[in-house]
Amino acid sequence: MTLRRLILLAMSVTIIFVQEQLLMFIPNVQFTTLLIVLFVSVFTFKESIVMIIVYVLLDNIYMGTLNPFYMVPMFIGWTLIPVVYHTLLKQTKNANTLAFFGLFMGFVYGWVYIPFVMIQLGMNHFWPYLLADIPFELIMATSNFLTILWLYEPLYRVVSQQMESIEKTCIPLKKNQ
Amino acid sequence: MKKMTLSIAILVLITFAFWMINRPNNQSAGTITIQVIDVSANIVVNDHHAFNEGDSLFDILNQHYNLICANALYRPDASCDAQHWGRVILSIDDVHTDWNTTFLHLTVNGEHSHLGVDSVRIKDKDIIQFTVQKPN
Repeated sequence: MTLRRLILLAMSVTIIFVQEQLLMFIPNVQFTTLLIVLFVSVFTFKESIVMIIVYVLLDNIYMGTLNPFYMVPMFIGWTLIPVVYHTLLKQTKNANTLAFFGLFMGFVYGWVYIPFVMIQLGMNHFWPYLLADIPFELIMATSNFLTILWLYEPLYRVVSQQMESIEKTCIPLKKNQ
Repeated sequence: MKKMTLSIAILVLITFAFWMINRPNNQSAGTITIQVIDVSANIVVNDHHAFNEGDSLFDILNQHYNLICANALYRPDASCDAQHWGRVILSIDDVHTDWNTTFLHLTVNGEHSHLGVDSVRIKDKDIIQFTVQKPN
């Protein structure tokens, strides 16, 4: 990994974190899924996982939720993006496919929290929790779908061009890495 | 054009889903009893109120009491504006809670309600209790 690539990774975490804090007053409306999908499609799988680990740690430290009941489902939820992108989606750059994936992720991200909430509250809260979460999942799914559909391609063009130009001019930190 | 069609289709679907979620729950009319119990377990409100088809519990409370609700950040908000995830009542008349150290626990006929004042299904002769409680 080159130093510039490492810096790009840090910058991408900053962008994700700052936009999420700015949009916090509207529940589940965010560009986080769009940005993670975007960065996952320009970084390698390993780099994407590193980016998500740092983002989840930073977010939970800042929000005061540094406990496994929030951090673990959050990490699993966001990690599903690079995992599915590199397997089922076969690294597609098709905005429509990614938008439908974002729509699906809006629901899956909410469901990932259910086992952890059940450990805390008990199984008798399963249906109330599942039903109460539907409006938030709908908002996140819509937000994901529309942002990816309209913004993924222009953002991908800019980011991949920048990445290419950086790759051409950079010096590796170590040989063969 | 395809993007626009997809966007409109998704927005229509989501609007329909929200309409289904938020449609009025109460299909009947009748009378309910509303009790408010303060932190010392005194019943400070014990009233009977008639309601009509389509009235939510919030509508009934709002007609008869001074309410303070929680805003999106769980701070007191006297406007009690509708929120798509449902309102949280912090104060009813002189019984106040602050969400962090105390909250109003809602029970219907003695059973914990999993739904809030906008969504709970009420029927004739229900006893609705709001009890000031401290979080565990």
